[in-house]
Amino acid sequence: MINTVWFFLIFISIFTAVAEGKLTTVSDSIFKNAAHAVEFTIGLAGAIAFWSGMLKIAEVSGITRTIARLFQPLLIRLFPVLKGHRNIIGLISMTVTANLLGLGNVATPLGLKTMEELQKLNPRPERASDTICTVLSVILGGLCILPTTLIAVRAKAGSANPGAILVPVILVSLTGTVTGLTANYLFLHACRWFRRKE
Amino acid sequence: MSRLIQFSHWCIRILLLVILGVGYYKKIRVYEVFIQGAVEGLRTTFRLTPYIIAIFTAIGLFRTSGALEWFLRLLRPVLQWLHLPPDLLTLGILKPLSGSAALGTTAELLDKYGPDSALGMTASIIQGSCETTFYVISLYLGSVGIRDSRHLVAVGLISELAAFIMALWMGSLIGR
Repeated sequence: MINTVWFFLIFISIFTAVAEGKLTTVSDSIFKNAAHAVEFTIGLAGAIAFWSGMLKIAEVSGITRTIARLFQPLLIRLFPVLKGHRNIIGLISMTVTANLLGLGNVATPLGLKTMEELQKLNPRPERASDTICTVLSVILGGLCILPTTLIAVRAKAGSANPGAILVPVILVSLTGTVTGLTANYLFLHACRWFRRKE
Repeated sequence: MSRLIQFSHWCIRILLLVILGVGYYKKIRVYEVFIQGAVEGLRTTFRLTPYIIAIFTAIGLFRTSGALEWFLRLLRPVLQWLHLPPDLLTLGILKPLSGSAALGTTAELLDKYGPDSALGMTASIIQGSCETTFYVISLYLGSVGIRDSRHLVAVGLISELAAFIMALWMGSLIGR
């Protein structure tokens, strides 16, 4: 699916650029955005490396497993496959918590570490496993209880009450997450059903 | 509200102190283990660079070529029928594509209409409750080299749409 979306984004863009007579735009835009992408990952590299180092300490010292024990009863229901994989359960709970608190700089490194561990259990490494799909559905839902960046932007724009959106954001992001998780659940079950029919 | 933001900053400090404290207490060679983890982290970043390039260039082209504007112009009659301000749709479509562009647009809208107006509030809610679908999928799957994302793009867009509609509804309640 991402193949189709990616192809059409570029395909339509080139046609539009030609139709609008923007001849240099295409090459300029590619150069600028490709450079920006590399700068962006280099900027991200520092934070990811730092938090990966910290998480390694947390893993070796058993903190991750202690956190897992707290969240296990809830997460085992969503991810029955992960029973016995304490470390991964701990990582998932930390990732989701960091996302909830709007800690973007910590959430990304945590999420990538989680992916790395989940990938070790993936029987087909080039394809997203069922567990990876469910974890990503939670992240894609954008559930948030403390939108820190947004509150800062609103304060900067001179809002009398920058935090007034807090409750609506919690309700709306919860709706998005529940809808996404339901869709994911249906897709996975449709998948299994078709496989059984074959 | 500033107390809540303070709280989220405190979380990072406490997390760092707990990790380092427990590690040191359990006589783990914290420095060496940190380096070991950091090397893995750098390797991850290196692996995901091509995926980020693919997504950034495609979305950059879509915006600068004017294709995005054409897309919005096609949707305008539907908007008029729904009594929906076009600015909000721009934000709703930008959000799954690009996080920085969406944040910029939100800041612009807050300046233009005022952060406490009904439109400013709705824009804030959209900004706060939707994820940057394409970036998240390419980042997370790219970091482990997964190429087949299965139904995840659809899941992302479905939860986006649900959140967008809910945000518009909430906004209309505020405006009343």
